[in-house]
Amino acid sequence: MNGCKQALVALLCSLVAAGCMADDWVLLSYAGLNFSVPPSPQAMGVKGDDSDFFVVRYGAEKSKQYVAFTRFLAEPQYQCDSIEFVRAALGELKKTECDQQEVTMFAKVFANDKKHGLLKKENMDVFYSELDDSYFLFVVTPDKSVIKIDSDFLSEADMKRVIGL
Amino acid sequence: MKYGMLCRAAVINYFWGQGTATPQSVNEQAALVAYEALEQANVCSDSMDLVPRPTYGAANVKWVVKQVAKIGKRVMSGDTAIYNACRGAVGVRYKSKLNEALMGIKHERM
Repeated sequence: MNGCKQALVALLCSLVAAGCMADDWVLLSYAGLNFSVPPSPQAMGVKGDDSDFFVVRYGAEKSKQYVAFTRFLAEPQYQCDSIEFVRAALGELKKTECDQQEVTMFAKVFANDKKHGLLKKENMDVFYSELDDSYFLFVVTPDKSVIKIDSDFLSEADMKRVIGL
Repeated sequence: MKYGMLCRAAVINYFWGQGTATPQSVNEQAALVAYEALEQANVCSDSMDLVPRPTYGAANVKWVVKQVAKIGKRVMSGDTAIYNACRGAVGVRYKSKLNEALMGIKHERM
């Protein structure tokens, strides 16, 4: 069972167990790591592609009030792996093999003139970016991959709670 | 199959990778997200207007869907250079929103 299906099963089990504990956030296991999401989602979905896209939606409208989990895979044009790319675009990494134009453009969207930086969780680096209408986390996992978590409605405090901070 | 559907899918697959959308899967919400992403790419490019804006008032859904199809026509003809700036980064920014729209999960009361 791939990471995404495991996440869905784990979330469903948590929802059943949560019962009437409507104020408690729901535990979620994704790609072998533990997260939590707000209670009472309206819909959930798994795309079943290479990126293990998994979305939890809290409103009735499509593509609104969601929190999503994705494996952030390096594109060929980055010319480096996803960890180095995120460090170069959102962190302090100055010397990099990554394509400079791609790094610059990524920083333009996620970093320049925006609240962004690095959080630490149990030896994991988590890069964050706060945009006008959404919040992004890029979690560097112990197995050397990057998970992107983004939401169009959760606050900074809520997003920290998603990753257990 | 309607040509407009092919064009709209072409825009989405250009920005988010081949196989992201099929002509049948591009619903109105997905077209709106694609348009929003293109507007952001427009800001990102710091250059000319890549994305048309309505002459009068706010854009309605039908107008947006039509504009996305027009841009798709350009993409299908190979005229993509002007959309390249920030294409990757904007794609990452809107991917979740677009995927959720394409999945078309409707909430229905049981």
